[in-house]
Amino acid sequence: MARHQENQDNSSQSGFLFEESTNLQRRRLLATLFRRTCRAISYLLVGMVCYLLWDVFSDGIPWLSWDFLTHYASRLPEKSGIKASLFGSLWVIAITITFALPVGIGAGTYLEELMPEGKLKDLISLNIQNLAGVPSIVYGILGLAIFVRTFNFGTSVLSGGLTLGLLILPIIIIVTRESLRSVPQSIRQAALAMGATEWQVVKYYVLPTSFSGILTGVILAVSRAIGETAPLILVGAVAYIRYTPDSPLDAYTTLPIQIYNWVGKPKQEFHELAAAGILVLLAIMFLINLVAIVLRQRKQKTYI
Amino acid sequence: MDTSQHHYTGTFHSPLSQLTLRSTAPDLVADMSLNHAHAEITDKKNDLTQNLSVETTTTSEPITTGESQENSHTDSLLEVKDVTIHYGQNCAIKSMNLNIESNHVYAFIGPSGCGKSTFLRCFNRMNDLISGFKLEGSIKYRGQDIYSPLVDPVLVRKHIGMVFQKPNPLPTSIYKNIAWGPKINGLKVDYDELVETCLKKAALWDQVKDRLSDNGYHLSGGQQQRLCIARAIAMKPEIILMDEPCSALDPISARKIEELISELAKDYSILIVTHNMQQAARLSGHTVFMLKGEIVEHGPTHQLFSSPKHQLTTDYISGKFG
Repeated sequence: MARHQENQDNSSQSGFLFEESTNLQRRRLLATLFRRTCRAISYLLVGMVCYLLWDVFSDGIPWLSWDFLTHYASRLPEKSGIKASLFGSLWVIAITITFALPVGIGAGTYLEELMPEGKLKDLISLNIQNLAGVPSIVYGILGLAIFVRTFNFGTSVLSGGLTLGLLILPIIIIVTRESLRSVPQSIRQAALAMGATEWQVVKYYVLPTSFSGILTGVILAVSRAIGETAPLILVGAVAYIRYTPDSPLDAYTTLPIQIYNWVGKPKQEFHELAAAGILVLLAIMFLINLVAIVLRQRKQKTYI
Repeated sequence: MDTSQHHYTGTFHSPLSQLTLRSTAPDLVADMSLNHAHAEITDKKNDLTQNLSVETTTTSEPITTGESQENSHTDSLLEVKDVTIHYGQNCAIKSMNLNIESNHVYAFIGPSGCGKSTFLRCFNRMNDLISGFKLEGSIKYRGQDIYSPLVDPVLVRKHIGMVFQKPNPLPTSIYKNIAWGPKINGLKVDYDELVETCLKKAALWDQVKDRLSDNGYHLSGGQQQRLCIARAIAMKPEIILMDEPCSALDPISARKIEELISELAKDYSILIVTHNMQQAARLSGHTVFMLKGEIVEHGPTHQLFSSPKHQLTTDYISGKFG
């Protein structure tokens, strides 16, 4: 206080607010350093992604054509296309979503909202968390044992789709629980205090409020499933096929497998075909993300 | 299921009996608690309601036959008997006993953490949501143990409404905020009319009548709290629990809510938890002073504030602690 009074008469250019402090300078320096490091890392990552994209685009663009989408694979690069693998991928993803979405969101909702606390719940939660980190090849083995052999679905689209469904199930459950947890407790209390049952609370308020969070997670999980190769090789996706699946029990191939297959061939043209395939895969993912964004924004208008 | 049906029809008569009482002696009920000379009137009222309740019980079959006969001599709206509450290992309420009569405002005061909110939430079983919550003893609502395993908490919450500390409108339109509760509970009423009367009772109608489809969150804090009160009224409860309903609001909004509460006290039994002793003095007929999970003193508000029997009460009221 005394100091303040001393400086009162001085002009506004001096005073204790204008004194130099080495401590503050050091803290400021650290802050700047931290900000610049973060910026450098993010630019580096964006740069790498841009380089990859440029590489793929420059190789793949010349090969992209309607023919590329409507022809089956061939030993002649100029006659090759991705019809079988494109349809196969769409089939697999459709089955994956139909299986994993209801089961995953249902399980997540039950675990988070309705299941009583206890050892069993802890055990299940821990297991799901571990399952989310299990390498995808392990799911391939699981799918081979359960769907291909035990259920006798054979090396079909159904086996592939269900295997990928298993793979993304833990992710969907975890994301669902996470989004449900972010719904404020006050909303649940409000609805319960009005004589709602637990299910009504979940159905009318908790799930709709957490809709966008769940959707984001599901999209991420589905994108992962689309790009997955290893487990599908195990459950018997074939590399060369000249027809599209007509039923869930048909043989199939998928885009990543087709790409993997082309990359392994010696001819340069096939490598460029692979790049074109990657572009199609990227386009599919982009489309799915777009749908998610549109849905999310439409929903956000009704719920804050 | 059958028993709960009976239970429901049994309780349905009770608000009616109160209404008749109120129409015969409205002003008596209003300042019942303020005057010493009212003991006599209270007795008369007891007789009246008892007679009425005898009539109604003949038509319905109480669930807990043995116990309800035991308690038929009392006219308690809520009867708290030896209630002890634990959260895990933590004891929040220690063997509490309290009788709450209908048509009064009861204020619960005490320092933070004394268990008054916990206690309030017992009456509509909101504590059930908290893991590790355990209640011993019994709380009877019109002679029926609300913690009986045969009682569905949803039905309890239908009769005993609640207003929370922080305004918590549902993330939906103003209209649906009010109409949703009655709708899911299957009340056959004209919802437009219900929304209008509830909003009018909550002194909110004039401000929102042109934008009922707006989201409840777009209202100001005080308006949101009035919406929450309107929502509670819409369920036509007999009792409204209020957990510090003004503490998250600015003084002007708080004053409006307070006025609203004293208005509502004519039609509902109100149990209010408050930090604000002036508020307790202004609003309530009875005050319960709690400390560390126990009732230190309770009685008519004017008596508790003017001549407290307990030294701790004197200290708390005069602001020596808390």
